[in-house]
Amino acid sequence: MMDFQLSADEEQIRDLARNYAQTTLAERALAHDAGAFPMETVKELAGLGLMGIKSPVSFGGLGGSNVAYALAIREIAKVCASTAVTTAVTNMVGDMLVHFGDDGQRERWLRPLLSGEFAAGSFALTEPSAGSDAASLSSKAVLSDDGSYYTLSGTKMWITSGDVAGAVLVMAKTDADAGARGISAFIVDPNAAGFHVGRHEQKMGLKGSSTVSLTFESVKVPAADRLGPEGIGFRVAMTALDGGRCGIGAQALGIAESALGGLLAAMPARKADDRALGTDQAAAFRIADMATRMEAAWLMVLRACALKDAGKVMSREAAMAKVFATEAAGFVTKTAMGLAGADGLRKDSAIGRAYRDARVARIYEGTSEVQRIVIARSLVRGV
Amino acid sequence: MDFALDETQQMIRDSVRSFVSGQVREPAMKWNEGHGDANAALKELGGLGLLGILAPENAGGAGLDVATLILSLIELATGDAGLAAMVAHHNGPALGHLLDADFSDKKLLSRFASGDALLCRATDEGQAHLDSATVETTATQQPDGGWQVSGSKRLVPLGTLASHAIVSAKTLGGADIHLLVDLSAPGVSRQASASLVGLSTCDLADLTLSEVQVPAAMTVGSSSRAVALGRLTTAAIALGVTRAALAAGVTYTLERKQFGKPIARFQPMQWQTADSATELEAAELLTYRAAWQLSTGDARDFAVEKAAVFAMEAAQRVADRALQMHGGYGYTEDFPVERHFRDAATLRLLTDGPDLQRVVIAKGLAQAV
Ligand SMILES: Cc1cc2nc3c(=O)[nH]c(=O)nc-3n(C[C@H](O)[C@H](O)[C@H](O)COP(=O)(O)OP(=O)(O)OC[C@H]3O[C@@H](n4cnc5c(N)ncnc54)[C@H](O)[C@@H]3O)c2cc1C
Repeated sequence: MMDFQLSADEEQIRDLARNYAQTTLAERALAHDAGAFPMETVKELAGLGLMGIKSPVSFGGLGGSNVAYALAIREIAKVCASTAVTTAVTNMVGDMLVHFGDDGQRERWLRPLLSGEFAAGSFALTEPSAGSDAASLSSKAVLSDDGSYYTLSGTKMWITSGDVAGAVLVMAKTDADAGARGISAFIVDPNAAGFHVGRHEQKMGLKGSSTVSLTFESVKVPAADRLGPEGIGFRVAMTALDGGRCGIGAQALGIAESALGGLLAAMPARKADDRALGTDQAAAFRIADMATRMEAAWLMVLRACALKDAGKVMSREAAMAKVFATEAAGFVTKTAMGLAGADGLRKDSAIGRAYRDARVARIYEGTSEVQRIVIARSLVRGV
Repeated sequence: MDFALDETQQMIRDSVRSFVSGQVREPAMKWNEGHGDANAALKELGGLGLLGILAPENAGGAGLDVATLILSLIELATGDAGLAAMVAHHNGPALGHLLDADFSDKKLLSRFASGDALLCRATDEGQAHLDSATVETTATQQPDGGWQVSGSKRLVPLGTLASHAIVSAKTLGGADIHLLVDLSAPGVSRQASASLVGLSTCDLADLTLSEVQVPAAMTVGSSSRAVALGRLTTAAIALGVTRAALAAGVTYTLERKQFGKPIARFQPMQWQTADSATELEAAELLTYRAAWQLSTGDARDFAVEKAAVFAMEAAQRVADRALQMHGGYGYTEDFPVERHFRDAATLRLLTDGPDLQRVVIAKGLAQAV
């Protein structure tokens, strides 16, 4: 039988995120939008367990479901999209350590990631000339003769939290001739010699998240820090993105919710004039469409999460949820801008921020075009 | 029918085009944030005669037609929409209003027409919904026939730079009235508006008028042409943004390679380019037709509103696609598309929003039946 009821654990995790977001985070959201990295916030989120929502309790996580994860990210994004993406990426790195790591790696990297000892985790796949075509990446890791370490070189781009992370999950080629199968995954210590942080991207939105390039200049990475066997790096990345895409869908819907909320909050002020909601169908119908699309998108995100919780393959559903939710957020934020009053058009208003923040969701963790390729390919191949 | 520009139109368009490539396009990449960054360029445009385009030569202006104004604004907006918005506001709804209403103080008029002084038109009062243009500013007639004006106006283009504002108000009897207010008069205070999502280089101010005395001679008649010019100049700015965004998208997709080939070879990029190009063309033709009508007489068949609704919304779609074509790079300030995306969504503050104009079209069509 179908069940749309949240479990007690899921409700608890949602409320944990909601309470923190609505109180402490709400006071800082404007400062984050002005460009301040949420350092204090990420430490506090770790203290609450929210940096490892799905990670085992024994390592400092909350042991929650994928559904709980989406609920929590949405609550955070509703208040501060920058904090939401920083949190989502750290969770993703932790999940990969849980999934592909060994006990030693979990002790060494997962524990400090979840406790807040590390401000964040980073996921480094994209390169200047390998974006949508991530498998064509050219960073390489060469194993030493004695097999004890790799020498990593290359450049990554767009790395969220790359300058503050305590652990960076890096995808690099260990076999240049094997295409995607020649890629391996490594946990890289940012304190290692040769690890350089490049410039900070100046973005339209998500201004409180940091996005940097990273250069590895013959960085020595102990062989023990390779995640899983050689050659599975691309699979690690794609697994991470299946979960990650649900997170981005949830993030986008949280942002959309803040735009709709900003619009509705300005409505009572209009009661006096004859264009007030009810007689003003331009506003009424659009608000109805916004909410309906958000609802449909949210169900798609939850379904993808529920499939993952049930241990099913859900790449197609995750891609569908991501493209539908992020495009819904694009529609909602644009429509809200079209209905906003003078205050709503302000750069720092709920609507103004949402319009700038939501736009990236159709680009990162696979553009909308890439999601459609994933969906169509899976249908054509019948998987 | 003739879709060709006449010699003067061509000449003015070309000179604005070269001004934009020389003095606007590159600098605008850095103007992005700063209020006032485009003011020097605005001044230079005044020197080129672009602040009195519609004013007759004997009134100190250039004596050109609406089509020429529109062509100039399109060019300017390809470089910077905020700068174009200031030029549009002064020439169109503001000075256009004085000219249409046959304002009697010719000396003052020639100061505006020559660009020595800037003029704004203050109508919005910043209700929750920008389109609800209820006027609460009051004008009380004084024994000497002059007026005492009180109220507040928000997001007035050129509000801090202008010397005068055409202020809309209601008389005690409830009649609409427009008064030309000297912004240095006692009782006027003005403050730069808070930063908006887009059009960041456009000077905007919130005005407060408390018991400001306005001589009877400063009464300005009403002008439907001012409203039409407000709408059509906004369509022109939207067109400039559209054109710039489309060009940026095409250029980028030809340069950027993924999967071993330029992304311009992928069908989703091709569709986006083709749809954007088609929408640009449609918006241009609608706008040109309306401009032609206003150049030769009055607007008909809601050509102005149709152009404005379509062009304003097309700009948003085209800027959105262009940003998408840039992938992550489009989200950064290193490329102009993120600015086009923000500007396109902010254009509606310059005139009635598309929703209100739709109602105007529909009501007008109903009346014609
Ligand atoms: C704020 C931000 C944070 C990010 N954080 C991270 C991070 O933490 N870690 C990380 O590894 N990466 C990160 N990224 C990178 C992000 O995932 C990439 O930007 C994204 O994958 C797109 O790559 P690209 O920017 O190179 O665009 P491109 O791949 O160059 O795409 C340009 C355009 O071409 C289209 N296109 C490309 N190939 C095809 C095709 N075959 N068919 C049809 N259309 C196609 C795209 O859809 C897009 O519209 C981040 C990006 C941003 C903006």
